[in-house]
Parts: sequence; structure tokens; C-alpha cells
Amino acid sequence: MKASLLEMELHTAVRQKKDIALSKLDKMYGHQLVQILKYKYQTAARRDEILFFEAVNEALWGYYNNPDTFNPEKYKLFSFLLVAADRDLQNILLKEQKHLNRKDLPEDVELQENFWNTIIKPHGSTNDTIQIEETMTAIQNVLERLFPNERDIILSYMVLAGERETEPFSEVLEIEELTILKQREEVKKHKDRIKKVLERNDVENRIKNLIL
Amino acid sequence: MNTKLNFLKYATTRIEDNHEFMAYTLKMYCEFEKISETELIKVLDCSVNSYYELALCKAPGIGELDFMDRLAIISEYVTIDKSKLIMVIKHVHTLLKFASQPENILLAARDKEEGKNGKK
Repeated sequence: MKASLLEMELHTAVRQKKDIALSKLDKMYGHQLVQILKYKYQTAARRDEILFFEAVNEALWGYYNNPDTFNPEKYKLFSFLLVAADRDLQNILLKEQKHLNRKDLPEDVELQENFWNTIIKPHGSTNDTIQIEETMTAIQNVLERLFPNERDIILSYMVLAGERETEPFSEVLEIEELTILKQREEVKKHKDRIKKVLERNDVENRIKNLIL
Repeated sequence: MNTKLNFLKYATTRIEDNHEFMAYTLKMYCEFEKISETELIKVLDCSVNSYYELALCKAPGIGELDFMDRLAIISEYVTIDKSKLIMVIKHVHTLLKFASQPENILLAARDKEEGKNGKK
């Protein structure tokens, strides 16, 4: 999927190293990427949020310094950054694993929690990494075709991950200033809307097919 | 603090030693003036969000011809008064220049000490 007009503008600004380019990049994508990764790696997320910041920051900084690694004719910038951040996070988790000298990653435990996490089981080989990246891009493409904006894509990842709490949804929807009751109402409305789209398009099964 | 703000703060700390970025200028201002980040946010009269967005901008060089134009773009983007940004950048620039000559620091320290004594 091609980059959007907004993404093309940002890409040009990054290539020209405009003063506000990195700031815009971090502002637009930083927290969204963190949110998605947190729902993919839930055990690690409960352990240490900083790992996610580190991975996303590395991905954004890497792109900022080498913007020509991104092809706007072929991909959406958001997808490109997501794959990069995921790869960086896997490397961080692998390093952590080596450091702790443990046989199994904590993520092995969380694989049981939601079906699509099964794609994330880094063994460190190049083939595994390529496979994971391809599957992730495919999942991202499925969601991008169904939802018009990044916010809905994050919400869909959350719904697929089985998130039940109101607070994380409120944060993505930026409605934290509302009363708890209003937040719940609003979150329910959005969750129902997302669920309907997912169900209507049989997304769970489509993702299962991508994974298996 | 929510994820958005936390992430911007994290990204800021990762570049605060990089002279190219405002994160460095802001950090130096706090160090020179012995004030906290929160106090600088008050000086700039901006939100915490705007502060970190500013920190992630490249710092325009004072001596450069397009300094004012670049500053205007940053000011509009972060919605922080241009004059406040100029004040911070110029202040840090002057003090860094000053600090690069050790004899100046000694003289300044002596003047400050004499000033204090004079006040008493």
C-alpha cells in the first residue's frame, strides 16, 4: 500500500532534515507504535515499558537518519516503521534473554494469551525474522484496508488482543479528561464499531490463516 | 503522564547531548540557570507537550541567515512565543561561548562573589 499524502509530506521533510521533522515524526507515530507493540508483547509490556520506548525510538531515529531505506511508492510509512520497531524490539528482547541467560523468553508464556501473538517467537535466525516481518506486514495490510486511520488500527489490535480495560482505550481515543462513565460509553461505542468491522470481514480467521 | 507524553520525554532524553537539537539547548539552559524542567516550562509559558515537541526540533544556529525564519516555523509548530525561544537560544549560545574560555568563568565567578558581598 502506497504512502498517504501526509506521510509523503513528512517523508520529504525528513529527507530535507527540516527543523521540525523529527519532532513531527515522534509526535505522529511514537506513541501509536508503542501502543501496538505493547499489545503484541503483553508480558514484556507489563514488565517494562521502557523497552518499547527504546525500540520505537531506535526505529524512528533509524528512519530519520536513513530515510531512503523507505520506499513511499510501495509501503505506508506507518507500516514501515511498525515493522522496523518490531524488529528492534525483538533484538532488544533477545539481548535481554541472552543477558539473563534464560532458555525461554517471557513471551513464550504470553503466546497462549492471544492467537496472533503466535507469530512472535523470535529464535534469532534470519529466516525467522523475515517470516515474522512478512506476516506482520500482511496483518497490518489487512487492518489498513479495513480501517481508515491509524487510531482505528491500534484499536483493532487492542480488540484482537482481548483488552478489557477502559483506560488503555481512553488513552488512544484521547478522552481521558471525560468522566469515567462517559469514557466507558465512548469506549464501548468504538469497541462495538471495531468489532463489527472485524467480524463482518472475518479478520480473526484471516489472521489465523496468515499465521498458520 | 500518558504514553504519548512519556514517549516524547524518552525521545528527548535520548538526544539531549546532541548539539543539533533543542533538547540540548533546553538542558543547558536549565543547567546554567539552575532551574528544573518544570520551571523552564513556566518560563516558556507552554504545555508539557509543547515543551517536548520543541526539544525534538533542530536548533537553528544564531549566526545563520535564516535563523529568524526557521525560528518562526518552530514557534508556530510548538505554539511557543518566538521572543521566549530567542531568549533561551541566545542565552545558552552566549553562556556556551563564554564557558568555552575558562578564564571567563573564573572572572565571572569572582564578579558574582564580589556582587554578593557588595549586596551584604
